[in-house]
Amino acid sequence: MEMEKFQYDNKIVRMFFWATLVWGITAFLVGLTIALQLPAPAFNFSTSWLTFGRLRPLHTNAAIFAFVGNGIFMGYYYAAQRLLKARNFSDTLSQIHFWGWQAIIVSAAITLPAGITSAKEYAELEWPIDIAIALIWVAWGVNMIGTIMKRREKHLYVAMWFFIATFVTVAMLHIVNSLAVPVGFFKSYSIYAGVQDALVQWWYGHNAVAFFLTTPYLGLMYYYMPKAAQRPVYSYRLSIIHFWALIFLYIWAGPHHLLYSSTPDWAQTLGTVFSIMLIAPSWGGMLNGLLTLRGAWDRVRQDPILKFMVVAVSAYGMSTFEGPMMSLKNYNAITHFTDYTIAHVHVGALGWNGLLTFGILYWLAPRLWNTKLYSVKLANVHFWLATLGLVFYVIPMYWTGITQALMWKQFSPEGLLVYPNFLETVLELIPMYWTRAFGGTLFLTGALVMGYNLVMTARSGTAVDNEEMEAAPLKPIVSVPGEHKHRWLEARPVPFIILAFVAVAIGGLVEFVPMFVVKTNIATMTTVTPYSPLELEGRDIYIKEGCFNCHSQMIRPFRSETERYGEYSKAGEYVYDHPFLWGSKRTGPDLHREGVGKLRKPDAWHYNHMENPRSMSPGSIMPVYPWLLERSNDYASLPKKINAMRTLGVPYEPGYEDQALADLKNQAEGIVTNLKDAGIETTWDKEIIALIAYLQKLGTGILPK
Amino acid sequence: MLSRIYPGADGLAFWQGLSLVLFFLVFLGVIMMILTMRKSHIDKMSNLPLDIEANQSTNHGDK
Repeated sequence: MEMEKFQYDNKIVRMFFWATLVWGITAFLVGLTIALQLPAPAFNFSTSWLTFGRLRPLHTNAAIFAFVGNGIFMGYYYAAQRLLKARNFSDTLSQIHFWGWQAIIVSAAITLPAGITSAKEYAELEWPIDIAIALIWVAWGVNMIGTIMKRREKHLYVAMWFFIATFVTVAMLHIVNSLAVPVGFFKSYSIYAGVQDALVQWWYGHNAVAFFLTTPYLGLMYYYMPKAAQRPVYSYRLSIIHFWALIFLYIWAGPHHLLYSSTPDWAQTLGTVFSIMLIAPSWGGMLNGLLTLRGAWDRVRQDPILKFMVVAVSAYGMSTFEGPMMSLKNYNAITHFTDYTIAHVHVGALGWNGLLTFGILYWLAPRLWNTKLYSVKLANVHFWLATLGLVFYVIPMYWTGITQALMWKQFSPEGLLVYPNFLETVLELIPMYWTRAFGGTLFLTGALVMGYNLVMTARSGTAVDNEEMEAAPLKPIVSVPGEHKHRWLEARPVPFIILAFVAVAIGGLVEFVPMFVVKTNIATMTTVTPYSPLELEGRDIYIKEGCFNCHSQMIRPFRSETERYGEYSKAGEYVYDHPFLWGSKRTGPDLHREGVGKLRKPDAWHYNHMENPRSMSPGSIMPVYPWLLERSNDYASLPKKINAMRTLGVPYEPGYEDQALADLKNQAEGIVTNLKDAGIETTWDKEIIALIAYLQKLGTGILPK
Repeated sequence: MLSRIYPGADGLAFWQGLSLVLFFLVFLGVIMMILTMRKSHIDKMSNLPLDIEANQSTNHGDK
């Protein structure tokens, strides 16, 4: 048989290898920093760009897109070339992909601490970076499809299906969720509002977990576990069901992030039903991974790589069982908005993504440098540090979550809230927050040990940029009468990509079309009015400071919540909210009725509270915001903001942009006068004035005009 | 059940039944398809990652 000589590009694998290591350690370090900020606010260092609200999105973006993202590409570039028996389609595209992705990460590391954010969870980056992400993602996709086209292996292995589904779906999710109207280079407003924005965002957010943290890692599992165990995958048949069922079902489950919210019941029910169904393919895949080790379990005791992989796949099984359970309304009523969710995502992120990445890094290092691993003992030390770190992280967070829920909901025999002051429920958690930080320290220490081990491995070997290989050329693919349908599909990437796209597009369409078309989904409330110019500017400061990372704006229809916060939230109250700011976690209390009823406070209270929260709420763990009192807001872009909002359907009168600044100043002077009466001297243009105006507006949509 | 949640929503029962049938048909189809796959193809695909590669060291141990 005629053989063709070619070379694998190992250089690009090595580049992503180091990026995974460096960004992984960075993500863990930022995570540890914000973990310390909760029990000890001094770790905010009274510095705007180091506060929790700004660093928390930096941590999530670094963990997801920098650490896991580079891990995906590292694993993909090594596996795909070998599974397809072809060098990457274009070395130039590979380099553009690598450097473009690193530039995006650096942009995120600069803009997020600077408060430049769209406020959409896991999609916080502003529109110029969003465009760059789309372009670089397409560069990867073109490189992948090009490599598939010039392959020497007729059939696509299951790992490649997962990589294809990742490329197609993430492109769709990112583009649809990021649609926004820019008002400057660093500011834009989502084209969706309120409930619709929430549905689109959590369709994206949930599937960022599904198609960035799960499907590509399943692709890696299906390649690297058989390689590490030297055993073929347990059941190829099961992998087919796993793939199609998973990508079809996952996309529908987004609304389970919105249970008991103002989202229509039909959407919530849909999210719950599909989440429960997801247990089947998820556990099918998990068992397929674990059973791949059949006959090799004795090696798990000695081989740290297999240890990492076994715990990783077990964590995948745990989190994919727990996720559906948290999608049940009775379970969700306890876990939502609490640290239970934080525990859940870290079983997935640290356990599944982290430990699988570590296993792959250890497996790849000797092969990329043609040597032995520097120290198996250190790898074992790392395994135990990572596993114990995970345990010390998640157990206190589960404990914290349940404590929060119980304290929030506890009534006295007289029917009163036992803990009416939210702060009491926060102070109870401090010891657990310290324990979590200890777990994070162990995990970070383990990663540093790994870094040393991998650097020493690289130094002891010799890197081969181009690995020689030979394989028979691919014969022209022709249809054979009676050929099995899936076998036919495995040999034809274009129909495969189209089918995968159809499978993932259906769920989104079925949810979005009724939500956007059926008017009764969001009942009109005549009492709800657009934000005044000053309130709009204040809202932008709320977004810039990342207040939504700790404060929700969604009062659920529970007695415990209406007693604490007031009237439950209605869909019609959010129609002018571009973007929605419901939040997903309550480190502090809900703020949706901050401007009405018993929760409304004097302007001076907010002023003093932002300067030093502990002056108003002794023991509070909220950071200080002295810069809001000092900085003057630049209102030059106000006309553009009014125009953008009008474009999005907010009923500002034509020409109002010319009058907006005068109205803003008028309202601001009113607040300045109130503050003066309380003995506080300030000027109308300070950021704090706009923020106070926004906070006093919250929840007033239910009041009579 | 949906009819109770949405009183007055005529015809919902038909659509929920149809959805259920469609789901089962699709998954039944996938299961039938994989059961009829040839064992030789399955063995070949299962072993694809394990093909021996040139110039590849599989050693790792303490130095």
